[in-house]
Amino acid sequence: MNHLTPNRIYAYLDGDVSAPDRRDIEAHLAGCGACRAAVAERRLLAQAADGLPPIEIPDGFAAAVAARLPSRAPARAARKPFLLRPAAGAAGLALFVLAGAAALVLGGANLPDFVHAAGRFVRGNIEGLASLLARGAGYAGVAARVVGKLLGQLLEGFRVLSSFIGPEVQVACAAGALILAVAGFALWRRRPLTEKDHEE
Amino acid sequence: MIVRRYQQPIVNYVGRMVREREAALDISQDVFLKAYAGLASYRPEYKFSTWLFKVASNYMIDYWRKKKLPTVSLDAVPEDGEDDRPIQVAAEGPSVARQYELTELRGRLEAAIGRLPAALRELFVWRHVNGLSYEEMAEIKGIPVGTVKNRVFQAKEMLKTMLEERP
Repeated sequence: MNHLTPNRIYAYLDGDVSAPDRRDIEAHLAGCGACRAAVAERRLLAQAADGLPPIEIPDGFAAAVAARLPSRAPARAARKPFLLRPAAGAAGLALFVLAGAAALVLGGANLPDFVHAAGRFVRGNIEGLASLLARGAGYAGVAARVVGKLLGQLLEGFRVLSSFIGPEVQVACAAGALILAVAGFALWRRRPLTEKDHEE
Repeated sequence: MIVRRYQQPIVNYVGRMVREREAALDISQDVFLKAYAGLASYRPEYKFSTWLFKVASNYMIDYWRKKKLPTVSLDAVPEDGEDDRPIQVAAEGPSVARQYELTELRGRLEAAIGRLPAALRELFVWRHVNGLSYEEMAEIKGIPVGTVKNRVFQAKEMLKTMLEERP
């Protein structure tokens, strides 16, 4: 009598034999004590293996893995939002300028004179502030004076420029700046969502 | 979270491979980090657990290579059919079933698994500890299903022989 092979026994225990083969095996087992013992022994080993206990995992395991995950902040910075965020500030400033200019034009005021006066006011205050800071802290004061002078030059240049451009053109320029700023802000708001955004 | 869902099967697998709990926990963490880094290579048409075990298996290969520990290639074990001889009928001597109670048998089996060649141990653990199908194991290792079955049967026969030896 040919005994069963181990592979055939394992396939039988796995239920991985055809119906005719199963009948043949069971017929053989009915008359062969050695093979019955071999099957029983392998079945017991399979039961022991299937019941091996799980390895204990500490509570903080998942948190420890999460803590080691690379930060996703650099990916967010790579999108260079700094190019778009100032657009929101610019939109507010442009709106302020546009509203002021519109009020002046509607009120019949001379826009160039107003801009010049405003420039002098701002320059005077900046120079005064710069002077105060200069008395208190050497290098910071010097830097502030330089910045103040630069701003003064800028405002003076703006005054000269405004004397050549009519109020209507100034208002149109301000409106254009406002539209650009609002468009930039809208683009920033509609940017693609990132994984971090999803988490938030 | 993915880690919470799959931590137990991965730790069970790695733990049986390295046979040291602390090392198993460290390696399992590395496996999850490696999986995270390689998420782009995961294709949704396959089971995520299968892909994760493949990541873990590749990690173990690198781990043993770095530690310069011997790893038994599947090529080193006999080809299909070579070990397909009829059972040896022992007229005398205690069988595994007669020697140990089930609880004691599990303890001895745990030790014997550690003595299996790594390539066979991996397949045995996947089958009996992780409950993977032969098809899943074949997909992970990239080998035929029949070869996987034969290796698992070989592992069982080796374990049986080890357990029959008196301590």
